[in-house]
Amino acid sequence: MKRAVTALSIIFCGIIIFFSLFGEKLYYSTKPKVVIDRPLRINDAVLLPEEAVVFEPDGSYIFTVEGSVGFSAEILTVTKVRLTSCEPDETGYLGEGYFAVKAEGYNGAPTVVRTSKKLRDGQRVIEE
Amino acid sequence: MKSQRKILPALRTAIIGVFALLFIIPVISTAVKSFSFDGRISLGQYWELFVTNFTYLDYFWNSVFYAAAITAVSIAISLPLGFLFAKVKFKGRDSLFFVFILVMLLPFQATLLPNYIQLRDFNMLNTPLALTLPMMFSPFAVFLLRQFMKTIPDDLIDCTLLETSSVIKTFRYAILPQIKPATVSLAILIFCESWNMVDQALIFSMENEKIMPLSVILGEIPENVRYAGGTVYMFPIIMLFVMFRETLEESMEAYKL
Amino acid sequence: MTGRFRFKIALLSLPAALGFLVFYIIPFFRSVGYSFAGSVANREFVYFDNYREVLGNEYFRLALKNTVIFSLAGVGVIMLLSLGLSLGLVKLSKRFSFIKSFFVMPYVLPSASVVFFWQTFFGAEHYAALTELETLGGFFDVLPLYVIFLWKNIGINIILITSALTKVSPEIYEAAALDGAHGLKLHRKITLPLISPSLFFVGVLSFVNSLKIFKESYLFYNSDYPPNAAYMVQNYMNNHFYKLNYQKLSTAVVIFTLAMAAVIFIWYRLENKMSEGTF
Repeated sequence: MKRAVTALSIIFCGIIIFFSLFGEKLYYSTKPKVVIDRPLRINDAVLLPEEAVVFEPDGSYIFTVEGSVGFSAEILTVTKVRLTSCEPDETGYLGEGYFAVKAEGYNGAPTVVRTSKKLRDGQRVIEE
Repeated sequence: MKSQRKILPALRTAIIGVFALLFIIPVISTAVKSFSFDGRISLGQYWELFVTNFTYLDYFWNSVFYAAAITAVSIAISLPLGFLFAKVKFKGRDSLFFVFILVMLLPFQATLLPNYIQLRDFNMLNTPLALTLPMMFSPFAVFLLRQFMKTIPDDLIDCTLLETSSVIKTFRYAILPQIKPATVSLAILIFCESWNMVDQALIFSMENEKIMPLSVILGEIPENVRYAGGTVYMFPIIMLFVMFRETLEESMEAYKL
Repeated sequence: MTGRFRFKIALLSLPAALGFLVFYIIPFFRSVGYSFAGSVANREFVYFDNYREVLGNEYFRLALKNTVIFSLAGVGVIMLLSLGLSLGLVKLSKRFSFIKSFFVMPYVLPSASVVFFWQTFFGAEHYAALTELETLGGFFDVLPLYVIFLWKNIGINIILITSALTKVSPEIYEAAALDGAHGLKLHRKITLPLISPSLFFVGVLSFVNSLKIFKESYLFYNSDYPPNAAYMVQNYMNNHFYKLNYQKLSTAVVIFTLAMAAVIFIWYRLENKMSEGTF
């Protein structure tokens, strides 16, 4: 009994010390790094750079970001939003390489414009 | 008649056993629930606790620091005073000791304000000192140490004193060995009490959340990691309890006046 | 014991004694002073105005009433339970004596850890419906506190009572059995008087512990303002701390301390008398 208790205690101390040292680093390194932008709206559509749109066989998508205050750090969660229309931007207002996109309920909320890793719906991210 | 004799003890054991299990259920339930995350059995809750809520461990170490500091210091400074009350005769000793007992029995309600006033005047509020100093001078340690030391035979002390007048040597060879298990239990009790400190943290560090111990912060962590947080928090105490169970129980019997 | 030795001991005791004086004794008298003061600014002597105000305050009265009810009821119930369990535990064979530890563990466990369990336990829908019942003046609101109090403190009582029970020599029981006493009558006439000093102490200890329920109350209700039936003296004091109202606070503290000191003093004298009366 005593040996089990001692062994357990040592394991416990090890875990606690490990996470005390590396907990924060682990938090930041296990998440994709993204660049977030509040995009511009022109004529009913929102202007986004090319890299912000993800093309998939069943449609095109963007990722919006929602922030909430967590216990230790701000938690940013992405939501995958299906685009109803995606056209190359004709106005050239922000320069070359932009798309004018539309999606349901989307009015220029904070959006991911660049990501270090492929994103999934509901994933947590870190702002670069 | 004979069968009745056999049933009664077994029944008694069973009933008490059931009660005992009921008592443990909160602990077991908290531990078991800490291993479920998103509906599956996994260690996910712990990962979420240590990584996403990485400041949890900061508060954990706060508690460790407070409990360790309070235990070590209060026992160290209470040993001589306990000995004074136990073996050194002087006028008014027993009435003075009664005051100690009185203050020890007074609940936090009564001692909180005096402590607070003094801390405020020393400008120690909202610092770690506020959460350690008043408890280091708690009369509880003095009381128990005096009870323990009273059982040391006088001749032993007199003999030791014939050979040396050094206080340290006397303590080391005559006093401490006699009360070692009791002192260990006292240390554990003080540790557990400080680990559980709530009232003081609420008042003395009202405005500085960073130095608060885990006991108060535990209520604020997100709900999905509560059970893991609780289990980690009570794990050291349970380990201490299991290791020193018999010593603890024997010494608790000395609580009497 | 030479004078030098005594001097050295006294010197080493100084930190503890000084700390005690500085943090407990001196400020207590200062707060007595505060309780007679008007506002901190003008330091006028307002006689017993503060006392009248506090004692007349409905919240203080509510707190006092709740505290008294809780202490009396709690101590009564826990004494009965502890006695019953102890009487059963003493007769257990050595193999099962570790069961005692199951009862003691809650005493050392940190409250914050298990409070989630209690919150879920008492948070179920059925229980919420019970609390809606206006009968018994919010009894179901405060029942969790009773349960937690019993759970936490039965352990230490059991240890004290069982140790007292084991000190009763078996010959007394044999003699009583010969006289035909058994069961409840045996316990009432023989056991109880023999362990009454310990029982008395357990009573006082339980009373003191019942006042410490604030910790669990704060963690359980997770707020400074628990339901009416659970509002106790320390809630009142804590809330005044946040308002930094030292005068009222000091008054409440002095009232409370005097009451406690009276109780403890009475107990002390009674205990001395009893230990002189019994063998």
